[in-house]
Amino acid sequence: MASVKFDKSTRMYPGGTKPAVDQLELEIADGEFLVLVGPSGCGKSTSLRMLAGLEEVNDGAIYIGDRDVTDVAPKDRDIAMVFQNYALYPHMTVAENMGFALKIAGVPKEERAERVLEAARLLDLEDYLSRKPKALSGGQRQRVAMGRAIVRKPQVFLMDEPLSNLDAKLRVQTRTQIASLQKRLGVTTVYVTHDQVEAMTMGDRVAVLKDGLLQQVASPRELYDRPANVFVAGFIGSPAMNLMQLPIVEGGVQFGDVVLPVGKDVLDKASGPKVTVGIRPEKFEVSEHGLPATIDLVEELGSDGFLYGRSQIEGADVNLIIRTDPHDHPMAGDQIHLRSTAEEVHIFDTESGERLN
Amino acid sequence: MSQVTAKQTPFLLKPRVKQTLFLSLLSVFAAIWILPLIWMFSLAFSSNEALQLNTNSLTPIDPTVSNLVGVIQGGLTPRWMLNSVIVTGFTTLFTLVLSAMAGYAFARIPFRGKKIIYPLVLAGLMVPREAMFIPLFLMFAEADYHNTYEALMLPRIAAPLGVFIMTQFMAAIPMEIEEASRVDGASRWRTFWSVMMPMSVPAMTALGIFTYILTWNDFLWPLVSATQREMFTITTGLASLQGNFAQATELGSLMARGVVASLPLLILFFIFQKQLVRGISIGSGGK
Amino acid sequence: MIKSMRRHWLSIALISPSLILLGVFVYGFIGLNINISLTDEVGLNNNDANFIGFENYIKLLDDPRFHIDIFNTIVFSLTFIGVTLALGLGLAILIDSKIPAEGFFRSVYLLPMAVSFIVTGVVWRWLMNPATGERTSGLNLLFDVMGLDFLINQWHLTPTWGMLGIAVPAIWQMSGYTMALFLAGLRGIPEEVKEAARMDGATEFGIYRRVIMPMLKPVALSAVVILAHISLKVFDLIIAIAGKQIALDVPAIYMWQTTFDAYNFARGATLATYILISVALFVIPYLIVTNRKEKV
Repeated sequence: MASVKFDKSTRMYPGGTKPAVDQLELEIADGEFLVLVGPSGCGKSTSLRMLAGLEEVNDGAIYIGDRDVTDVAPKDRDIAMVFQNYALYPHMTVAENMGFALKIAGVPKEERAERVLEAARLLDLEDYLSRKPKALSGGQRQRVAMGRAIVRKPQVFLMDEPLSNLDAKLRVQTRTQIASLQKRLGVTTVYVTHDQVEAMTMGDRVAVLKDGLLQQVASPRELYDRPANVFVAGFIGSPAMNLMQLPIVEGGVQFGDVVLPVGKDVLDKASGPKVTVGIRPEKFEVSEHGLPATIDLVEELGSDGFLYGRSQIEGADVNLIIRTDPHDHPMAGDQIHLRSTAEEVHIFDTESGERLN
Repeated sequence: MSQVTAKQTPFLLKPRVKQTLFLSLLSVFAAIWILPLIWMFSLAFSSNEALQLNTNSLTPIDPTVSNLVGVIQGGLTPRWMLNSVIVTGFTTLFTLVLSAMAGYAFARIPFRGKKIIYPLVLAGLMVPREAMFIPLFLMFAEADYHNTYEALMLPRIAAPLGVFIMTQFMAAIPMEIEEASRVDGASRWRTFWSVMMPMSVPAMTALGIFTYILTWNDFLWPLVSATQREMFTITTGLASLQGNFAQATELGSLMARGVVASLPLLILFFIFQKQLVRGISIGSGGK
Repeated sequence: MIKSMRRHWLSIALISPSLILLGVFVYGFIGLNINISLTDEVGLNNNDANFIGFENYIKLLDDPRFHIDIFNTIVFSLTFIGVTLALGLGLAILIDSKIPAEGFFRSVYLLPMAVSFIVTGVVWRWLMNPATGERTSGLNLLFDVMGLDFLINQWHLTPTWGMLGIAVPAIWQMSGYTMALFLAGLRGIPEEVKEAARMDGATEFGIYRRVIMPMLKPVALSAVVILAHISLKVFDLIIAIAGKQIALDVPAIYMWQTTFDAYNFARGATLATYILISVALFVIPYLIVTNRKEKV
């Protein structure tokens, strides 16, 4: 087992004008489960493939443990990978699929069989060892792909959206299985997903990427509570955080007919006359005063209720989402006022998008 | 399914009428299509004497297997069959191996000059054999190399069709599979040998049958290169006997040779029909 | 750098056997052939051939036999390609319409493909027996029995148009293959596209004309090229059916006789170059079209 370190690693595709991954600096501790998350095209898969050795590193370096693996071939990196489409060898049985890497490494036949069986037991695949991938269900194939990685006992697991081909229910189930398996085996894992729920539930830490640039690396809680910029704020959390541009006034920002108190030290850092204020849906409070809003739609989900509304801010319509009590809430068409407490709001610079408070 | 959609279809014919019409059309054509082969078989099993009077029956007249026995025992036909089997077998084998290798490289390994070389290979697909014939003949003549198996095989192994089919097929195998193999520790060569080759078995089967049929039926080059009767292939051998049957004296024997010459391919055809159809669709690029 | 070198070595190792064979036996020999055609080389082991430029090419253009060859080739190719395409497409559409025993029909039509032109020739020579009266046989007898007397004809012995008779067995042999090509194309069209057209109010005929035919264009293009290529193999068929008759002469037979009966290698090579040029006229536009679409 080992730590992983991206040291200003850059990937530039031939013919591209912008790097797909731009000077990524990231350290992953031994045994840690790190999730790379971001919208499509953000460079998360490319980063993973650089670590796998499937993608050339144009600049910077990558370390596994203390070893510089930047120019090392995939086979010599001691890593195992789970692919999005599983990439099982269709002409091999489950056992042969799982044992292929060991066979290439010259592991004797008996030890190979033993290790395959051990992994199969762990994944509940014993009964399918002699089947071909074609004869397996989606979930079983996914487990074989996991098994193929586990058998190797590698230093690092790499997983590239391994759950995206499963149906919603199975995905939730498998999510917890993978996370607990990783804890049990204690192998350093880098996991790529576009699904922020997956990222938040599985990762010890989550790295958010956008346009090839690392936005923030933090524990799921910190990512939620203290997003480093507007992008992370909007990306993490479901429903998304409400973001609005509000003018700075004496003592805070103008919030409808009230002033939302914000410290002078924070507002002094702002580059313009406005700041971007972020409020999570559950941090709104319906009240007599505050930001006026019209409710368009109400969703009752049993445990929660969500109000979808609009507010006129500085002459433009801004969409808002408010979480409320599912049994007692305003109705569609109602005019309401919204408030929030100063500790609960996130203040970002409107220009740079960086967090100010 | 078909009934539901047909009901909504503003088509002139009722579904059942349409199907009957289509089916009868297909049957008529099928009858015409199979007729020449039935006729060949029935003549092959008719006695030569009876055929001097009447050659028009679709069932054997005065049925006999003496024609077939005569072909198998007499003359050089067995030798010609053997020649055909050897030449065709090795040509097919070499074509498969070389095409798979080149196909993998064209489909998966980036290298300089690929954009120029690959179209040249494709263009080679269409070059008529006549265009290389004379120098080929002269070169083998100069080296005193005619009437050998090598001379019969060598010029035909260069099969651009094979490279084309294998390239198309391997390019369609998901990249992830190959990456998985590399992460599993396999070298490029190992990946080719243990992963890509076994996965290409369907395409290679199709290509194999294709090559086998084309090579078996080839006529022009064996005609030129193999001038000694012992080195004839079954096609040239059969053609060499062609002149003798103008008076229909040995029509039965001639048809029996046709049957013998076709039988290995017909059997192959029935066993591998599915793969052949698949090969046709890979080759057409209309997969 | 070392990494990319190693990568190149493997691709060179994988490709070079094919490329060497192709380079020598196809491109190399095309060059040699052209070289021979520009000389007056006659006879075997003749090492004192002289370079005479395009003389052979010019002479051939005035040769009446070559004119007949060109006429015959055009008649044969147009008939063969046209009818085979139409039949292949028709059969494919019939088979694609959810017919029972689809596999059976497909096999029957494909079957002739497994038979060589030589065997085809042997059989069809007798089917197309031009004898009349008492000795009428083969297809003519069949027409006679069925009362279709107007169809009785001289087949390949018809003056001037004998090549049409030669085209019949060729069509018989290759229609199934063309059908398989089109069938693969038809099967490649997603059911949803046809359903969408139906929802848009297209008739069954309209779907074929406006939706399916345009989508089959690439397949049809491949089919034309493949058939054009195969139509060159008519040599085998003519030899098997008719022997070497001037009425059924094509450039390939002319070339063969010039070269291997008369040992006039230079003129044979000239004929070969003309054959190559005529194929190139077909193939080069095709390659340009496909290459533009396909990326390797």
